[in-house]
Amino acid sequence: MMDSLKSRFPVLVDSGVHYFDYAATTPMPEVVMAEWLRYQREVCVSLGKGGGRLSRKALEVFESSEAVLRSFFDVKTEDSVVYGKNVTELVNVLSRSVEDQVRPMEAILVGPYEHHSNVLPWKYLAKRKGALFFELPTDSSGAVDYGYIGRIPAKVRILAFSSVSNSNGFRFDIGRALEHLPEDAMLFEDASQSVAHEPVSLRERVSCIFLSSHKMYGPKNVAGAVVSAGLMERMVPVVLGGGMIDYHGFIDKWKPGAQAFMAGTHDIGLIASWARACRFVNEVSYGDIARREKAIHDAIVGEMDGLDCYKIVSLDQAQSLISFVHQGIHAHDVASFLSDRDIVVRSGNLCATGAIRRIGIHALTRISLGLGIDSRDIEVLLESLRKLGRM
Amino acid sequence: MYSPKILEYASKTFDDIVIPDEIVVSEGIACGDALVAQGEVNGDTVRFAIMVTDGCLLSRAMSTYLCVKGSGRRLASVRRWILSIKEAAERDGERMFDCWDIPYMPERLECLMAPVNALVELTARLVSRSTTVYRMKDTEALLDCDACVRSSSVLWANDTAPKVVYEEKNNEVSDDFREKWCRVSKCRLDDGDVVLLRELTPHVTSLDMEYIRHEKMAQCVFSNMVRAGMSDALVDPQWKIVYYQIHRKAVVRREIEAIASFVGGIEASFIKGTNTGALYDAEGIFRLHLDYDILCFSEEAAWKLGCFLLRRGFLMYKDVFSLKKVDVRGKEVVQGHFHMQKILDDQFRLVIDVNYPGFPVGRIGLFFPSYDGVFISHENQFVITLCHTFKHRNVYMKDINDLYLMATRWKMDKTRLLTLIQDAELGLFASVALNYICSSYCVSAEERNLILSLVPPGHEDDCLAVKGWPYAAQAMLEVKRLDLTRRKQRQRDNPRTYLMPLVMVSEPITGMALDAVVRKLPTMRRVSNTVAVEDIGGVRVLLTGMGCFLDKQVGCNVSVSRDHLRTRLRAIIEAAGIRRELLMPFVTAPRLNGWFF
Repeated sequence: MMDSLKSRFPVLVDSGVHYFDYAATTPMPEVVMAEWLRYQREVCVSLGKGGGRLSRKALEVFESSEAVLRSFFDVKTEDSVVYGKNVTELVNVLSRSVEDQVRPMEAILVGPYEHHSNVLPWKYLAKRKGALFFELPTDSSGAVDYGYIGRIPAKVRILAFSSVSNSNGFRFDIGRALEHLPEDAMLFEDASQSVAHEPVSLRERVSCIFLSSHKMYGPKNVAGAVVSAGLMERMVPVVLGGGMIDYHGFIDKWKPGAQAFMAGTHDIGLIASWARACRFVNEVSYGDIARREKAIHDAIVGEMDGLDCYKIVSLDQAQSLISFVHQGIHAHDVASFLSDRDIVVRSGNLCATGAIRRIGIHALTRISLGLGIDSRDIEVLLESLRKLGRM
Repeated sequence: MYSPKILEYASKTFDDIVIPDEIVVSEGIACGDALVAQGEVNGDTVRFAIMVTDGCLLSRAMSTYLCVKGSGRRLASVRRWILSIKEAAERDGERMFDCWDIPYMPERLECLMAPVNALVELTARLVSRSTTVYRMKDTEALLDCDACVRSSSVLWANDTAPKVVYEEKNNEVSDDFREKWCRVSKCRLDDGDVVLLRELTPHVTSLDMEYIRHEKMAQCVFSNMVRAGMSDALVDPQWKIVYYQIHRKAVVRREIEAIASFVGGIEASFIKGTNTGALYDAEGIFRLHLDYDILCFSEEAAWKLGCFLLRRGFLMYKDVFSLKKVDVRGKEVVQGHFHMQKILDDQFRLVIDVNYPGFPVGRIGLFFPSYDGVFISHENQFVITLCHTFKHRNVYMKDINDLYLMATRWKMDKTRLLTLIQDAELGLFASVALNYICSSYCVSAEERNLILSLVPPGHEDDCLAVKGWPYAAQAMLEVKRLDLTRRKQRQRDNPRTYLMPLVMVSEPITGMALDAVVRKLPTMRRVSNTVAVEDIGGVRVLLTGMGCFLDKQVGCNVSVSRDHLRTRLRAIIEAAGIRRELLMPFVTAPRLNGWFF
């Protein structure tokens, strides 16, 4: 096992918990927290609020932070970054901002193993517009029939999918989906479960990718959506107010591009802090993250494979999470047992009811991996899993 | 991990049999606990059971606690009691944990509250419940399928619920109305049909849509509109239902694959639409069906399949389980028919329609297809569809489409097929259906010769005896009456027995277990290899390989005491040696309220 980075995460050191819930939230390293604090100490104000020195400084921090984010996520010059407080909010905002693009009886598709946040906004968009809403079907092995996209007798207008599922680690094969999608379909990719584990960027033909800060060692309350130039042209702002308008009169005129989605006061410190998280990930490197996680993943799965009571329901392709059911103990009781030993995991539906039912169960326990795990954490987890296995 | 109190209640079994008036199924959205609450009201007393089908110890403990403390009390008192618990928890969630001597875990409050909420809903339903009474349908006069009727509810002793008589919708339409929609539902249209399609479909009324959906024509009309390039007309939101039916077929595939794998290992086979679907795919037509039909070749295979489906989360469709004695060449055979249902993704209903040990021909015949252990041949599949074409009150155009495509696209052994049709005495049906296809399906000369060659010699002119089939309701009645009259010369039309599930099991009850029951309980007598019956005071309980059932027909005429029934069920379960863990917590299927959209 490589050297642990646990000491970089104050909450893990101070609380003493054995944290295995990185898919929900990654803890923040000291440097990321310090960045936010520094901003509040030195700048504090938001963008475009007055002409003073602090305001100019806020603009500088914003621009330099966005430059880091753009570089990290390989955002093309012509594409835009829209900010929100989290990915859930951004999916809702984006789904409303493209509402005029959807006509009655067109089809909106979502992936088969989606989080509620990537199902409900699209489902209700379909309802509002009289469109059709389909979750991509699976076969008995859980595999997706991508060809189904081409067999739907309606025009597919939107496909929304998570690059990696939060419930079973399923990786959506965008290449296979594209073989069946019409040229003008809009594609929305939720990369929340990828950002901490592998490089992500707006791929060819994808209209928008959602990025979560708090799932990649950044702060909560900030997230981003990289929007292609083509989509941005057609989007209509939905949160109206100060900061997003150029002219207010008989006919209002919105600010251009992503600025039209910056209504109200934003905490630039959070964006700066997120940019610092990007630099933290770069310092460690995705290659190193993958190696660390694979080693931990293999150690845990190796142990569980030896115990008959566990059935792992996450897919082999998932290296950053292990979802499982205990054949005799309910997921909540497993989580409570682990919690008594200060081990933090997630259990239940994971806010992905449809996905969990499609897997064929009602609830599961999820162990998810990240940089703050040390050998002691693994030791305690494995010992607890062994104890549970004997119950 | 938990307090002794939690562990005590979670491990305690509340071993009660409830014959429910109401069932509440609950699946916690956040917690993932799945449970079922079912209750019956006798006089003013409620008896209920909450079974956690997949849940944690907190939810199990709370469920048992509520049953132990509440079941058997007056309904009004239980209602007040459970509402007070709910209100107290809403005011102070921490107190709930104090009561169980465990530390406060706010994220687990829902685990404790799921059984409470289920009982709140159950008691609400029980307070406002009513009993639907179905008028017994005279299927003999109309020659409707006697397996498809809604049988009346059982008359429970001390049942104070108001009775509501179910009024069946009058779906009668004129023959002209029926004809125009039938014509545009064919999988092969002539120019005149296409003109009619273009006239009809841009102005589909809600009544039109209700009719074509009811008659399972909507998918055929939809397909023809797609083929005719009428995309503008398909923007009418009324067609949404067909899009979702198409989607349902894709969604249920995962379940059908799993069932097919099981069916491959027992004496059973899929029949009808599951097999003909590929013919439609090749034509660019949608062949959709809610029901997937399976024919089991023995009672034993049917019970195995039923139990397998129960284990997969299917439930029995309570209005459709019936048995009928059929004379087959002087031998009495018990023919059975049941539906099992599962809701997939909380939206998509999947029905498995099981017949055994043969497929019904009219009211009193049975067709036994040959089966090589893996497949039913195309010839036999053709005959089954021919039987089904004349099974219901009206003809389904999808059946005629099936016959046309099977006859012209499948390679079949003509001699063998003719023998099967003749042996099953289906010459009349073949003559009527195949002549109609030749006259209305725009067939080529070659196809015409091929199709007509499937009419057995001597029956060529049978079709002349009826005019206006399949459009005229009277014509269908005449064909079926003619067939029945011929069959009745040799066979009797026995009454059909409609069954209500009382207790079902996840593993089939073996013949040995049935022997033990008959040996231990002198009141039980065997009626077949795997079915025994007990008839006490006019109340008939049947023990089958799938569990215990009540003869509803008797139960709607005689007042049935549920306490008495429970005593008998316990005796039967004990005599059969059925382990408690094999008893399914609940067995009847809920209905879906409709589409979200």
